[in-house]
Amino acid sequence: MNIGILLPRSNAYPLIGSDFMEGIKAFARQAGLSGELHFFAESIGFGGQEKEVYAKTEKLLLIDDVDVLVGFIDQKVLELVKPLVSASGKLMIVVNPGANYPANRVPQPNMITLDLQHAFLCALTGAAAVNGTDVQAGVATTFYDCGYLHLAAMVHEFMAAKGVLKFNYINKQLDNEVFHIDELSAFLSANTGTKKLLCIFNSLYAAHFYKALNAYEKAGDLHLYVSPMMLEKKALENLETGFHFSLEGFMSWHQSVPNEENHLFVDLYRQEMKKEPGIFSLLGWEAGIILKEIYNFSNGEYRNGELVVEMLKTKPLKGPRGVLQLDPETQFFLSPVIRCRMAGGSTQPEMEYDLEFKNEWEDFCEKPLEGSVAGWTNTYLCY
Amino acid sequence: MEPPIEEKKEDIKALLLCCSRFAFPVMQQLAYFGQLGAVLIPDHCPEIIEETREMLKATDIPVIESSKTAFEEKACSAIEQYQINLGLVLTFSFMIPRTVFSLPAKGFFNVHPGPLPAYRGADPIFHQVKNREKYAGLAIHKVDEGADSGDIVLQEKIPLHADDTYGILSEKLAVLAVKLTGTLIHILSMGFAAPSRPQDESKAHYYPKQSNEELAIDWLTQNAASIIALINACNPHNKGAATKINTKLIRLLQAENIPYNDDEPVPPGTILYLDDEYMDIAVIGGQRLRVRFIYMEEGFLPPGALRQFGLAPGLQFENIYQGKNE
Repeated sequence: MNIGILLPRSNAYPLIGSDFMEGIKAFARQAGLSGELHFFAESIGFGGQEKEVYAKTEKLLLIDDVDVLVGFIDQKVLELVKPLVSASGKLMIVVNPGANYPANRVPQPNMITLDLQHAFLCALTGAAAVNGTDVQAGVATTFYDCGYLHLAAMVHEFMAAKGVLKFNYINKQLDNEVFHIDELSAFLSANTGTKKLLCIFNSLYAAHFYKALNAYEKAGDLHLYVSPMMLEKKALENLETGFHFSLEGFMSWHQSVPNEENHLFVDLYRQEMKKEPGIFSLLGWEAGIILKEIYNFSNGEYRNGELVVEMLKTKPLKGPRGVLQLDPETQFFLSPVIRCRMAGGSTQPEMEYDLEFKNEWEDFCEKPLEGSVAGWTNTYLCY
Repeated sequence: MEPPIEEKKEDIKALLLCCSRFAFPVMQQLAYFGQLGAVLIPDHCPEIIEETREMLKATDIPVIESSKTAFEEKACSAIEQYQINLGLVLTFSFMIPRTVFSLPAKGFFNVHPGPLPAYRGADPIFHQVKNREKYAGLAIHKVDEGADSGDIVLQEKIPLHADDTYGILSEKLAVLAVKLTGTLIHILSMGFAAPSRPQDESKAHYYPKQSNEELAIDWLTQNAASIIALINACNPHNKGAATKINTKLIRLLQAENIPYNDDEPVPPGTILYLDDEYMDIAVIGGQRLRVRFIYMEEGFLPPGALRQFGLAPGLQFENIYQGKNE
């Protein structure tokens, strides 16, 4: 089976493409399918150059004539290649972190999405931030992160639950500058009634943000509701003696998920590849799981995208996150969720695994995007 | 590593053929982006011609009116005169001959407000609502010599809610049309040909223009959900689903299904309750329909107005057409 792959580049995560590719190949190798799955990869840069993405997609589908297309691209650019993919009739597996979501949730019959559900998890976090009598919060994010819908999802859910937003702090610093949060600290000092922060930072900036916020004199009064990447190991690397503030949020995967498939995944990376797996290796590994299912169970009809999608709807897949199930309505893969909490002073996050939010997902998908929507066109984390 | 492919845009000048307000959002988008070369409207649509001229009065975009016989000549002439390289159709009442659809360099496309090939025909919005589809669709296909039979370029669906009327769905699909024509034009302006796929003829269905009989309620066979769907499909373009009582023609404009199990079922169509605000009507299966708006020659009225004409609980609505309930 020939598989075309649209691979992203990223300044922030230089290994994003190779981690993803390595994840697919590592899975194929351990599943004994290295000889059966043949990969044709094309780089699409940061994913925001539409003509380039279109041309590479066309090449894979028409010239290389791949059987299945795996595209690490975001929703806005995806709109442009939809006609190509539909015309081909082949299956496209759309992969991305899930920081954006489509304006229209009704899927194309031959397209499915594998993501990390970041926007949905941010929506859950926003709703969780309204509890008790304290309904005030401020937003803290970066110029880059706020260009995706995960921020809108978090803020909308917070406000829908009667939360009151007191301010927006948008950090615009580049990574090589000395990171500071002076404006945020000044605001918090002058408005001590606001003790909750809705935070969206990718893991690189999250580490800087945590460190800077920890130095704020009243950090112990604060409780942070954070995006999934702020719970990753890389984000928490400054956590030696614990933060003064407390935090909580949701994530789709962690190295500690207690199931056999995750042990297999993590151990293979650590023992054979001598490295730690991350979210991009996970997405690659899971794409491999899906490809294996297609190869084994589509009776050689893997070029018929619509038929493959219908087959996948009936097959729950076991993976490192738990069971991956293709939602028949949206054709997004759903998986169990992890709730992560950390008290002030603690050095160890508390994890609750295997949580299901099926009703919340349905509610989330039924809410249409309202008003004008603007944002970055490249894939989240590719900049 | 290869250098990135340079983003260069080619100019688009579209000829838009239309005969309903469904085309207006796309027309506005094209005009805003300087991609509208000319608009051609059949001369039997004076209101649409007038509204289009009003909408485009601040521009120098010509609005051409045409009879059926003059269409071919006027369309060909417009394509040449205004250097048109793209043809777009958004509800149009004339067949488009090859001499016209083969002229624009970037192609001629029909924006069809229904999924294809399942909803070919002149009024797919009506039939999607009437058929109580879970999703409504919009397709952009290449124009060929058949009726809605050309290769599909883009197709998308949106949820169709049980209370969506013809008018509401029309508006939603018009917005979707803006998105999909935007994508089509984006692809064409990058210099690519529109990718397309032939329609599956085995799944094709052509809906002819609806007959008066199709627009009328059949009290003996239709249940509450089916009647409500018909009412919604007829709102506003037919001013409601037709029925009659005491020889008086009445159109029901809005109705809801009231959960109720009548212990002693009465004949379907019987008025069970009537006051100033609403009227309850018995339907098959012991269900009842609550109606809040009606249309008669006398105007758009609440059902209470019917009391002036002697209507009262116990009287029965009838089918308009022979053979529907006789």
